[in-house]
Amino acid sequence: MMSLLDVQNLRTYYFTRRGLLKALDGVNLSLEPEEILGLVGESGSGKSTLAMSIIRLISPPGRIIDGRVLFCGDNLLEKSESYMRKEIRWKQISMVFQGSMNALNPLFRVREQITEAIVLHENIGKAEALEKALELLKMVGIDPSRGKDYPHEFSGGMKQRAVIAMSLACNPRLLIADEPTTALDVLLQAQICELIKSLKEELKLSVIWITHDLPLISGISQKIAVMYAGRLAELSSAAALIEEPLHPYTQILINSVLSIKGPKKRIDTIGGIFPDLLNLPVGCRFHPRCSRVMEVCRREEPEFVEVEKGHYVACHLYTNSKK
Amino acid sequence: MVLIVVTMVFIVMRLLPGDPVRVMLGPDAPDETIEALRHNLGLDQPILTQFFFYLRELVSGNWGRSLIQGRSVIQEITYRFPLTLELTLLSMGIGTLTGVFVGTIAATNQGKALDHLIRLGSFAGYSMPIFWVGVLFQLVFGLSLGLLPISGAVDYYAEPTRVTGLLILDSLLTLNGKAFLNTVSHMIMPSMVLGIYIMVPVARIMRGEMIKVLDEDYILTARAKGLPERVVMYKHAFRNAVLPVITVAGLHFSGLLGGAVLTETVFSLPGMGRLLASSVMLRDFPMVQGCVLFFALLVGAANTLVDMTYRFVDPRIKY
Amino acid sequence: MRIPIPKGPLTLLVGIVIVVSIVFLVAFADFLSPYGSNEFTNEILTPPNVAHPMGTDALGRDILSRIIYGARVSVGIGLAAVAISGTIGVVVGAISAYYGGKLDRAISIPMDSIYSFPSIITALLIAYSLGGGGPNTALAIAIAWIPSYFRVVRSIIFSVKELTFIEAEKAIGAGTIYIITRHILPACLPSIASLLTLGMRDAILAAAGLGFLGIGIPPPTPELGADLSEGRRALLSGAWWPSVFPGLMIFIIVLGFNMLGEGLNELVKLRRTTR
Repeated sequence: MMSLLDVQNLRTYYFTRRGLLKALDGVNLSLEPEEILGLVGESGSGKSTLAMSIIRLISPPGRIIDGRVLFCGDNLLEKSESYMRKEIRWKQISMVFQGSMNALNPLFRVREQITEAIVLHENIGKAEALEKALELLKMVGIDPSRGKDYPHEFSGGMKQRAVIAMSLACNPRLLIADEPTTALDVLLQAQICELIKSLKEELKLSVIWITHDLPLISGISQKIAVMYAGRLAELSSAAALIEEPLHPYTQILINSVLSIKGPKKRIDTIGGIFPDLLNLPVGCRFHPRCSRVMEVCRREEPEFVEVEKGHYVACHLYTNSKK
Repeated sequence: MVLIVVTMVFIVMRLLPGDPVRVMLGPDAPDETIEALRHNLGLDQPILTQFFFYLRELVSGNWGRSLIQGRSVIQEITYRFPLTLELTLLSMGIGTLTGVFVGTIAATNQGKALDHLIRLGSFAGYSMPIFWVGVLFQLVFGLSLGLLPISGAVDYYAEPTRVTGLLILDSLLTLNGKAFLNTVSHMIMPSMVLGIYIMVPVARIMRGEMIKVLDEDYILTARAKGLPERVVMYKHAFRNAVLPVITVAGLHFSGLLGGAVLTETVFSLPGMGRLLASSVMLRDFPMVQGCVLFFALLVGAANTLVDMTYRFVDPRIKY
Repeated sequence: MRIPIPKGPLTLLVGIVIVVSIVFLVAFADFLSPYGSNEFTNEILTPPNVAHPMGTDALGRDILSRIIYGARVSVGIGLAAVAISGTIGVVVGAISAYYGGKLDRAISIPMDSIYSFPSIITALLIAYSLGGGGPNTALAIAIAWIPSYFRVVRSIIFSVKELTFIEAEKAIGAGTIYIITRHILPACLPSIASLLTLGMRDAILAAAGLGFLGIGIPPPTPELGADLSEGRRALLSGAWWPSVFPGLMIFIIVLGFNMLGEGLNELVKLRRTTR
């Protein structure tokens, strides 16, 4: 069965005045239909760059220099810009940005911004598009009569939901949500999570959910990918990752979360600071902060290999135990 | 605000050292003449009474008579005002449009040579005295190249019938092609010269706003939606960036009026600005007063207009 | 990810160069000027040549000399005007902003009204009532521009006033004068420097404008604006130099102050962001 999305060895570099910034340096992942993939990582790990690279919204001085992005078998990196605009963007793949408060243009009514997307891609009249827009609002739990309001009249949570509604305007197969709940309080977060889960089922949607909140994503995703400094550290099903994290980085991430109900334990913290993407350490990117660092880690970058079925990791601890 | 200016004019004219009557008549006038004129103008009454008369006369429309040929002040002003309005509107339009255009170009080329060139140009433009630029224009386009007339608003033989007083508009309204060409050719240079004064701050603000707006998430969203770049720019970016431009343009309106005085003098346009200038030269006290007051009214009206426009364009402003 | 080329240092540098040259020119006018400013020669309206690099005017005076002396006059008037309006504007602005409330509103309303009125016309009006002459012109310009300084200083002080460390100072019990002098004013100082420089620009432009309109220093003293106005008469007979050169001088002087002021502005901004 063909995956919905298959990213192979994606490299996106930024050619800045201060040096070469390797935002993505060989990322491999795949996504099936009706699957939620959680993409976890710290700020600056490259998560957003990955999202932008998939729909090719990388602008100079950044450039995608290597790799393939197979969407239903087609390599998106080989398509023309006009194809991307007309067929892919929003129609097949849409995005919800980080801090979606500002994704709505303050000068236009909310419903107009949704119809704009519909009219652009579908061949239907404005009246029909408006109907669709209002239905979408209803689907995310917003009273359709609010459609004529301007963005500043919506609350934060409403704006977030409106943006989600907008992203579904053309019934995409894949939704990339970049930290959709980060700016919201806990209750709203839960609401949005529920919303996306139900939408996934209703609309047969696949989602790449980008976040830095591991506990949040472990509850709703089927697969989790952990990113570190431009590469994937680990990728597996959510259950496997939580039960048995392999990469030292993942392990710390999981152990650093407190559970209200669980037993008291000491929180692990990671020493050191996030690497400067302009000056990456030689060898494994994580080795300066790794508690189980070995000699080989300082010299060579570990390969991203499948250690168990569906469970990939990039760490020298496991390179010899390939299946 | 108008009230303040009105009072201020009064204070300045009456209370400052320097006797306006003496100034009008010159230092050699005999005392009787001075006293006669003083009595005539009511300047020998106690100050408060004067102020009262002053206000009453203003409101009733009697703005006094000019010392030059006894023409009615208010008549002169209303006759000449449309031309100044025309000049102001044209300059505002030209300045704003070019400013917006230039600012956008600078923003989309940020950091590159073109951007720096534009910024340099705006420094220069703002430092150039308007009257000098006017003279330069006259030299180059008028005298050397012989392309455009250098003075007056229209040649007497091509004058259109006077409907509104805005000559270009009048020629359009009366479908007078010859007058139209003639008036336009006369007004191009003054409008461009005065337009520079508006163009520079507008370009600067436009550039800043565009840069800010282009960084916003909704622009990214628009691109992610698959909108063609042109639509992203004009529909989304531009409209958001242009809002402060309206305020800036409005703010500089009063400066524009000041500049109009100078421009009209350079190009010998028979508008209110030049009226003020020549009245000052000729020491025509009532006329000077009338002009200044009228300017005050103009500025007040313009500010209100800008306010209203802004509310109309930006849905975030609540009444 | 665009890297901005810092425009600040360059602008500042050019501004300093120009202003210093102007100051030099003005101070040593007597030595630098080839002729006296009112020296009549027989060569009337001659185009630029070796003896008179900028030609002569209708009365046979050397234009180069006239603009050198004229620069001195313009800068002089500018300085006087800025000194007066700067001092008054800043002080009143500071007081009004610091005390706020009714006092602030009482002062602000007339200030705003005058501010929204074309400054040149205000200056024109005042100069007219005072009669002509250099000092009166400077005074007129000064008065007309007071609201500008007032407004800027007021807004700066308002923003500084709200900074938390002022609250802390008050909590310690520091006196009003102490707070103003030791904390608030120093915070404003860099901005005030650029404000005054840009004020010079406005003042000199205004002085030239008034001179052009016929108010100001009476002839035969050289004044750049007045000279330009005089020079216009010769335009039709083809003599461009009596009007172009005075204007050029105004332009250079103003450009210098403009760039200096803007350069200072950039400097202030840079310092603020790196703090």
